[in-house]
Amino acid sequence: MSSFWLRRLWHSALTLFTMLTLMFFMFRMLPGDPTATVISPALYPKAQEALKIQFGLDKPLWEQYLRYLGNLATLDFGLSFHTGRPVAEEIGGRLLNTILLVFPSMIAAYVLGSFVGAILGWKRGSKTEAILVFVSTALQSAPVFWLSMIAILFFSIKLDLFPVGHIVTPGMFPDEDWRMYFSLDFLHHLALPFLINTIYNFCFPFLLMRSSILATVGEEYIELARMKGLTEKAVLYRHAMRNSLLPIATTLPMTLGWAVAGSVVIETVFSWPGLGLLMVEAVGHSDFPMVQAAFLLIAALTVAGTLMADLLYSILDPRIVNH
Amino acid sequence: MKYLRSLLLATSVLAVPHVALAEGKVVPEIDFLTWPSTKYQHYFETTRYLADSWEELGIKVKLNPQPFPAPMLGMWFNEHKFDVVLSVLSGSSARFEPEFYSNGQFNSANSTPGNMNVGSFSSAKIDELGDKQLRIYDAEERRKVIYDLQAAIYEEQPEALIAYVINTTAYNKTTTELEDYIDTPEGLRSIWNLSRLKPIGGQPAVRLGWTIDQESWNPLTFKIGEDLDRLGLVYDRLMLVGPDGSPQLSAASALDVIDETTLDVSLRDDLKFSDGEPVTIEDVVFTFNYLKENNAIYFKQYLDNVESIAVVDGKARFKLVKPSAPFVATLLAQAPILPEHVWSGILEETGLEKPQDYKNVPLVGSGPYRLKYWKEGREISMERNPEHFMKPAADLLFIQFGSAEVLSSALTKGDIDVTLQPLVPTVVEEFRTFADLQIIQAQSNGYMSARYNINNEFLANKAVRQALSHATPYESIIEEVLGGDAAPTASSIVPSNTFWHNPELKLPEYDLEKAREILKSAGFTWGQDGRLRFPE
Repeated sequence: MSSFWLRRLWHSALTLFTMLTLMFFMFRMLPGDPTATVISPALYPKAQEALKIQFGLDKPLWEQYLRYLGNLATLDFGLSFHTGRPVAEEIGGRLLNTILLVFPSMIAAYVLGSFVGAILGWKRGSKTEAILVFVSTALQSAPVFWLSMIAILFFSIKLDLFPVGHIVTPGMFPDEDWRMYFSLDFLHHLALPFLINTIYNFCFPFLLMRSSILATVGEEYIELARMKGLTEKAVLYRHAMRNSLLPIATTLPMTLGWAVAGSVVIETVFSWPGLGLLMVEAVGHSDFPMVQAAFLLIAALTVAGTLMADLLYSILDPRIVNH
Repeated sequence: MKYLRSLLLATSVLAVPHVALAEGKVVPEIDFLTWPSTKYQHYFETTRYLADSWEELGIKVKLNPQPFPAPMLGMWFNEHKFDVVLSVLSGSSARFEPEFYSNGQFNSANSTPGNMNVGSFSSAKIDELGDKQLRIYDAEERRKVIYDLQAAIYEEQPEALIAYVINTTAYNKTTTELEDYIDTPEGLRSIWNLSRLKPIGGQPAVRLGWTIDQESWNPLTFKIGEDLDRLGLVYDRLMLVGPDGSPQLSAASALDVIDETTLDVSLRDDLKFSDGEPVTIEDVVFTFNYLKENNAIYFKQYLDNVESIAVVDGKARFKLVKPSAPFVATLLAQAPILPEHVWSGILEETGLEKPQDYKNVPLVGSGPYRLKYWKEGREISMERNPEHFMKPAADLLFIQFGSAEVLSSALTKGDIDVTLQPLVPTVVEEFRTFADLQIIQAQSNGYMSARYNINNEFLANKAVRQALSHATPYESIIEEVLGGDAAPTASSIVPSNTFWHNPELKLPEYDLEKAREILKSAGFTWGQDGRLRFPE
């Protein structure tokens, strides 16, 4: 392992530590008290005291912080203020659902975006290109909840092609949960949110690949490939596209954390029982342990993604390690 | 002309010192704590209507919207950081109990942080009547005092009543049957209607859409009313609050008041837990002791008043610390009866540190339904208990939605049979045109008002409060802001709480002239700038 990697690992660890410290204090600096969000029946003061003691909120802030760090070191995220159950348990069940929705659609968006971007960049100036650049930019600029609502209204209500939400038809899988993931019903429910998330994330890789191809069109090796008598297709896919893949390959892992965070809106509209929906509820309840764990997870995903991007970059372009 | 004007100017300049001498100090700006305009637009808009109207009286009002729930709830219930707050209290079956909205909110003993008297209101007469009704267990007798109490509160106007909300929900007539809807503030959510819903046309269960998932099935840790509602379906309770607001026997077969602080409860003999064990009086005594010992959050405020519970002559004897008529509708009509044989051994069985950590799924209860399964964030399935005396009509499937808009679309599409989520006014208009849907309008027993903080010198004045009530444009608010889905009320115990509401009270009519007269006769004056000034 070279010093480059040691340095990168150390930076990542430092970033995570800064994140979790900032998060701890930021949430506690917010006005309001988690026990005060328990409204009904305008929580009895003595019960509020009992709650504070139960969650250690009666202790001084520095002590809470030390305990928080100690717990994290053993991967203990504490108990949810709201449900009273271990945060790790609650998040674990939801994370899989989010990953099943987000990761495939991100990959689909990147694969589709790269190919369409490459083809249109190759044949610069077509009408299709102008239209697609406009449409994809417009779709990414539109609020995603609006897109989702319109999709539900049109595809689910009007055409009756897809269900209005949920992960499977309610009542269909009363017993083992794992069975539902292998059912057609699950795919049927996944289709529309998958489509929306793919369309929404299509724009970035599409534009990135297009401009990357544009930069390679004039390169001498392309000229050489053509002179060798290769077909236009072979030149594009084997030479131009491969060399333009670098920014795509390195941005994909970096956006994964961001995509999980972005699932909040889609999950809310589609009643998708994932991490995003859980976060919305937790923020509303000032459920610090739950929000902290969710945010930490997203931060960790982003940091890990960045690290992975560096790794990929160093493999695809070894010069980077020496710089 | 020019000369005349300067003459006028001169006299007015001369006149100013005289007026200033006669004026008291200016009424300071009112800090009106309200809801954020983005998420609670109609609440915020309501406060705008009030502020505009009160400014006509020469009172400056500063709207102070704060994020909900934090920090707004803290400022409202704990710190009391407001001169006026837009109080929006939701209805629930526990809040039928007249104590909650009358004495609970206005007795001076209840003004410590966290309690309901958020405006530190204090009146000897209200305190006296409030304490008196606590000692009367006979509902009819108690009602007379509750009527007097409402009249005394009316006289003092500790808040400007705006409206109580009408919640509109709906069900699909082609897939669901409900013979004779029972009019009750909780509408379809009420156990009296829920237990009679029946699917028609082949569905195995009634599918109910909602946006609020169960947080906890553990009676020691749950905190919200919605959790209690569903616990009440799977557990039996000794008493139940009827559709009209009066408490009635449920799992209890008799309730004997021995004296002001002693009650005996007898139990029905036909109750069985879902594991086949019979429900005994020992289970009842165990339950209340267990909830008390383990500081059950939701019930702690009621249990603190219980001195002891024991089996005496085959009945459960409750000894109270001090007399409390609400005890029946609050504790007895809410607390679920737990099986002793399950809960006494959960720590040994599960290895948990404390019973609060127990998930309580699968759940052993004796109620009209049995919890078949709970998929967190997705669905709750309940199977009817055919042996139960309430004779529930069908199985229920609660389906969780992320957004209320999508939920109402699911109803029109036929993906769910019933919405328990109140529909927004714009949707209601549209839904009326669908022949398949039956619209249900339930008058909530919660209400909306502007609560005054009596620590403010201006608002401590009774005449001021009476004047402000005449300057509350409740009709415009109901029509223009709340879309007609609300109705005026003259008492904080609203008309839908049929048994306890005092029908003789009449809401002060909106009349700014009258408001000015009241202020004038109380000695208030207006300065040249139009601002209201205190009496000298």
